[in-house]
Amino acid sequence: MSPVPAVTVVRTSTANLASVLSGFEGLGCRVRTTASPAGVARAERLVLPGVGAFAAARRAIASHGLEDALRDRVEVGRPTLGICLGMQLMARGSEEAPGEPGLGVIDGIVEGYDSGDGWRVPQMGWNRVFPADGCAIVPGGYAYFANSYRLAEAPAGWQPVWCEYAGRFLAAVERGAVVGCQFHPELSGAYGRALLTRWLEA
Amino acid sequence: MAGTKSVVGGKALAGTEALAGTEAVAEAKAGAAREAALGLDTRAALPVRIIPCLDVRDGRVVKGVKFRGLTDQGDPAALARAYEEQGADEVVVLDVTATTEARGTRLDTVRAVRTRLSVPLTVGGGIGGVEDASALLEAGADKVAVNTAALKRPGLLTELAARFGSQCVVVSIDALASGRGTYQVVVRSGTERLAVDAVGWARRAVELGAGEILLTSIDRDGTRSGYELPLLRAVRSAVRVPIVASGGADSPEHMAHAVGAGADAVLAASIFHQRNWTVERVKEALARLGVRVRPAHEGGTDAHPAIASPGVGEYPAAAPEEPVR
Repeated sequence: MSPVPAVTVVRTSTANLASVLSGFEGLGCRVRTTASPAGVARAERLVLPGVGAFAAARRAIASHGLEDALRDRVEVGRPTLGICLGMQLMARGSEEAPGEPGLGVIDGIVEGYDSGDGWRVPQMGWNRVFPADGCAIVPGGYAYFANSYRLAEAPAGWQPVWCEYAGRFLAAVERGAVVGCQFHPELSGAYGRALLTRWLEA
Repeated sequence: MAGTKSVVGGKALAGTEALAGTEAVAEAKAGAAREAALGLDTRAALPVRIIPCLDVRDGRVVKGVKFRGLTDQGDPAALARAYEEQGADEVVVLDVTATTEARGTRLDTVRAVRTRLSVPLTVGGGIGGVEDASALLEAGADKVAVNTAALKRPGLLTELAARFGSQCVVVSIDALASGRGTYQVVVRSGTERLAVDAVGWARRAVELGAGEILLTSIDRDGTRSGYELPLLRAVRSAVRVPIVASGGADSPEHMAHAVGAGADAVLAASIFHQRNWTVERVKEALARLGVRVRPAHEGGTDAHPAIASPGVGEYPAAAPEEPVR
């Protein structure tokens, strides 16, 4: 029998945690939350969730002093999953909050969708994602998105998962056991459960 | 701005990575071409969402006609789970009583639904302020739908968007035809008419921060006579955010018409609760009509040798040693 996986979810004031917690509990995980640098550093598997505004979430991370602990575990490849805004926070910054630096572990700037041609913004719904051959965790299939901003270009050193909405953009990136998802695996039904299961085994 | 940079163009991409990107573009183009052939708006590039709606009162799902004559339809969490298994893209829970005393019950309902549901959950009914919304999100909602409170105090939409993001804020508009092709807003579960133009309110609500519109025709609600298409067209021409069509669905044809009139998602209650249609059969019928939908059953993931997609219910029940909430 394999041990019950332990998952720690970063609790910042802007994040809506319930769906993320419920998603992992549904997979039989032991789930904890943390808002401390030690908790982030110690976590066997860490989830950085996020809904809301980039600047507010970034400041919440800073106010809890979590930046170095987050950067360190990503740099050494410890299992870490950034979801939606949690992925965006890993980038160098965002058009949504000019002058507010991201964690900088993903070399890219998050940009807004171009709604000039009448595209609906936010992107709200299920879109099909296409992993590059080197991806080991994120499968292809339909995933649920709710976002107005995204990374458009593949950052060096990460395997890209592509999607299309007002042009090509990054649905996810992965590097070993570190994954950033622009979509919400916890809200993506059977597809999301498959992804989370693979991440728990990575 | 961002769009000009969105084509990666293959620079610094390995061949397989470039190929995956090309596939994504080809898939989107094929879908857009099918929709263009039907005269649909190709910029609604995502599959149309099929959203069963659970009207909840005192912890039970109910359904009436034009918001009256409510009858019991079952347990919210069980119904939500069943709809997800049928292929529902989201679930909406509307508390149709939402009195002050009922708020505790409503949070219990949301918690119960969340533990059974792994697709997005929108909750509406009786949200008076940011704290109400926060409690619902904490209990497991992914989006909140506000109606009467936003009409009383439009700044609420801005406050909600600032705190939770626009993608989390749905403005729910109940509209009643008032003659000569105009619509007025009604509130309090359809009992109170306001001298407010529904299309103008939709436009303003989006400017204030709403990221989606749940647009219900009171004339059509529960009548199963089809969505109010002129209302959809009028609001579509006024806003760029997604529109969820509500009120009157009785068939996939009705849903296809709503999509043709500008809906990005279609909400229905009666046809699912009374088991005339499953979500899966609706999706199959819509696909035959040329409307792009997320397939109800393809195992969740694309074929991949390294993965067997888990089915619903194969996982052990959650048993955390320490409660997290």
